[in-house]
Amino acid sequence: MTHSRNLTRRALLASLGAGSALYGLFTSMESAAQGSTAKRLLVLAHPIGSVRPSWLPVTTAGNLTLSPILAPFEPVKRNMVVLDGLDLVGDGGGGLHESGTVLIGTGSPTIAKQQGAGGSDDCAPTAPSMDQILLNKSPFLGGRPVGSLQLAADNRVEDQGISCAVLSYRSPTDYLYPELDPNKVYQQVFGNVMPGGPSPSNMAALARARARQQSVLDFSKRDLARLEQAAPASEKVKIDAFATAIRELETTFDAQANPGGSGSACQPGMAPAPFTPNVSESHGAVGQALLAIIRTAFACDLTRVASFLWAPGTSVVTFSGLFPGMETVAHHPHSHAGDRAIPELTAIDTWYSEQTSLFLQSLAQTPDGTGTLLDNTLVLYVTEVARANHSFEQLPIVVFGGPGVGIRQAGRMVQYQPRPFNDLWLAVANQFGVPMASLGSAQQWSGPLPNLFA
Amino acid sequence: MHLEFTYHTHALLGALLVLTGCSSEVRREPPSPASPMSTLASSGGNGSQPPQGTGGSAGLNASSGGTSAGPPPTTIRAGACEVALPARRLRRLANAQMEQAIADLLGPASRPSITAGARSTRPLFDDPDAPVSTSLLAQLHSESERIGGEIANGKFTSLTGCNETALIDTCVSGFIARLGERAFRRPLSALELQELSAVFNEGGMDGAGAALELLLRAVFTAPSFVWVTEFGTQVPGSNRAELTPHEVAAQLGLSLLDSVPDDALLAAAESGALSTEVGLRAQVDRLLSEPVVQAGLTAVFRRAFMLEDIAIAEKDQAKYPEFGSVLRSAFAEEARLFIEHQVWGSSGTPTSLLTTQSSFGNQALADFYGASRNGPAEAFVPMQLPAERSGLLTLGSVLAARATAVDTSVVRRGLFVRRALACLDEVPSPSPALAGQIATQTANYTTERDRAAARASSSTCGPCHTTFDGFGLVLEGFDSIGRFRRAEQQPVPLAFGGALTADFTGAPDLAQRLASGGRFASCVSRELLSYLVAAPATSACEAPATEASLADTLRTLLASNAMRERSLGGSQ
Repeated sequence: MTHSRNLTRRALLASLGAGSALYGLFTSMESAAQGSTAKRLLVLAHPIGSVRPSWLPVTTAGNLTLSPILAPFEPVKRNMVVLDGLDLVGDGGGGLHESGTVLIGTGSPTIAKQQGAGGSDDCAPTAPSMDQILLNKSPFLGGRPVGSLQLAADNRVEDQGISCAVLSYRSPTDYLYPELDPNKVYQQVFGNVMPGGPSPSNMAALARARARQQSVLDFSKRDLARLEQAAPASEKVKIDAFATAIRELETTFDAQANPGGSGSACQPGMAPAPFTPNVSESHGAVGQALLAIIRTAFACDLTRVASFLWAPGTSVVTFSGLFPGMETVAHHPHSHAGDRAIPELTAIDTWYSEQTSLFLQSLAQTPDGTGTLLDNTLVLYVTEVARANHSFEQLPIVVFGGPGVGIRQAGRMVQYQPRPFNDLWLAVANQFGVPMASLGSAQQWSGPLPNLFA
Repeated sequence: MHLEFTYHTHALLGALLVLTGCSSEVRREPPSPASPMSTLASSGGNGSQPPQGTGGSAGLNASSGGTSAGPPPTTIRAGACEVALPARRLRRLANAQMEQAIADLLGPASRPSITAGARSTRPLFDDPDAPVSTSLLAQLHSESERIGGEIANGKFTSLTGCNETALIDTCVSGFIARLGERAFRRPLSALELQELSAVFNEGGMDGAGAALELLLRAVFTAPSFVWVTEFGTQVPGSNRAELTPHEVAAQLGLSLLDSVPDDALLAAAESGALSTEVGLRAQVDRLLSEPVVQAGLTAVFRRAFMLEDIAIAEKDQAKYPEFGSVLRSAFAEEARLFIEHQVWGSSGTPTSLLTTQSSFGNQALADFYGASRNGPAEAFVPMQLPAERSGLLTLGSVLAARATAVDTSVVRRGLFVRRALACLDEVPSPSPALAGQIATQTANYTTERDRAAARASSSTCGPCHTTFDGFGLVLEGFDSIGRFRRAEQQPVPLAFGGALTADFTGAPDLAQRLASGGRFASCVSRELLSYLVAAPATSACEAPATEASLADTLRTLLASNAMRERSLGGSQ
């Protein structure tokens, strides 16, 4: 990625006024120089589980030998812990890809929505997602200009329903739908990078932008107050939510005045090209563009929390040519073709490993604090079912990270007696300074996962 | 798990949520040229013809069976439909409606892209109660600023009709009043005009363009733009509120234009005509003849029956080499023309939707179906379906989309018929554990028919699956891509009560019985009503005594008190 930005004053002012992601990077390197290192959390999901015989690695004499599906992670093995024996525990309704996605994100029971005429398996969460809980409660994660990022490389689903495509929830009713367009995300996250630093003219421009934004928000506030007067009491919750949104825009702008650190690794490249969303042929390219934004946003410390979905559990992304003679197949439809789909499913999951590994390698090559960005980022590489038959048992889970996020021994696999997936979240919460006694309903947790953070 | 199998009218309670619930609006082409800029630049409203109300008492009448004595109604009465009146509320515009509204007000080149919180699916209407999230508000700010910046760069005069100025003047003040009235769907108060003028002047410190840009940003990020109010004023002595004429206009704008009201609607609101049933009818008739409204409502029907899912149906190419983009496109075009013709072209009724023997196809599709037609091979012209097919039920867009890539799906087709056509209540999804058991118990069977039989005889699966598998079995005569295969055609016993208890001999038989007794018609009415008011209908519609055409059903619903009244509910 090259460092060839061309931001005009006009674009700068526009982005300052934009209200989202208002943040100057003109104190770059200060924080890095002080040696304070941030922790980050990334939930990274790929669809439709894995093919266990080709997924399960082996450990001989303490050495981890990666399986065919995990082999692409060899370059980042020193930051890798394979977890075997975690079961997703359903409680409530929804189809299995749908509820699995929500269970991975929230760890809490689901409610079937049962909308749509053709047998939609959609479901709703009953709790915020863990990334959002940790964002709000962890002393290590919050307070950044861009609260969190939710991105997806594809969001087409087979039936009506949305839960398959959403990992993050601010509340049971506030769905954080992933953004698909790298260009748009880029503008939101980096549109305000200010060349020239805190020069008097920049600061004056900043003050003007703030005054302009405030005059617009003030009008919204007065409009909202008048509506509240006229509205029935039942609508207060909507009005309060709008007021919160206004306040958060004001706050993000204020973060401008107290910018945090950003290292020399903080170098947004050129804006990605515009693209048409949900095109199978560009699935990998779009995923890489989105993941590159996450990497840079982490490096610039614009945000410390992100979730990324390669594709929903009922993905219709098509693949072809992954091995000689492979025909074009759509991922989820083909996953129900029984045993004869195994070669294609294995190849597709290996492809996701390759693509994800490219991103992880870029984290490992990005200096951050006294280590690398991967050392300071906890990546949960998860999936919403264990395998194509919808089983929730023995989920294929891999955790990446390093000493900065408590992963001190890596390049290993931990095999557990079957225990709930939520135990991983409980351990992660502890790691981020948010002690949690339980997560979800009684059968959905047993206690923080041991032997991971050591 | 509770299941209600008997099929009487009350089974419709809740059943219709089938097609409602969440949903989204139609994205459609910007309406044709009549430049929105020129509309705003002039003093608006030209060419509108405020319909005359008949005056007097018409304003407060419910549309049918309105009685002047007795307890005031808190229901919607529309034809044979009587359902609970939605409560007063703030109705949030769907993303697509915000986009369309801004494009209508500023010109088609100024269409924003509002994706925050966007649904990835196509239900009937977006949740009008969804919170305005920070990301949505941030996107409204950035998009309105981007578009404002483009307009400010050289289009100040063409949009406003005023000379460029960085300081508010009489001309710009008039523009703000006109824009505000369109965007907020009501006249601005003097105070609002003053506040927006102050925003303009604040932007004006950076020049005239910046002034206009900031003004547009203030308008299109305001709560009054994002929400339509459904507050109204209380009808004395009743538990209902009569919406203001501007609120009625706003409803019609959202439901029929997916946008702000057009000039004629606004004029009818200003004259008070929309408060009367006659005036409302005049506007409804006018709007329903507009191509853009017809196209939008056609899309609503297509979404209601999930006909758009054919676009993403995938089939195993080894097993179904015939199924490719050509057949898929033909199915999609057939469905579009079929619905369009049924609703707008032929006085189609709910019954004819299910039972008609005619559809549309090119020669390739006719060959695939075994249908007969006359016309150029490539053209989609009317075709006569073979005896084994019947209306909506056997469209390729239904049969192929409600099947898996490698086989038919008794479950998907059965659920579709049960909920969308038979209007029976929801069947809960199995819990993960139960789903696992079902998969295990049916793993050794190779045909859908055998799997269905296994489920029926299992105490684990049977209680649920026997309530819809039968519908899917009737359609086993059609393979995964919707092709007729006689071998599967066997009578299927079903016992849902009433007309649905029978040995069905095939799809036409099933379609006939689904249509009988007016049940499907009442189902369609309620779905349309739910769409029009963007609220799930929570109580039953009676089956109509005589079936109205689909277009007349829309007319009746739109002229009913559904668009004019709201319940006070528990709060005031």
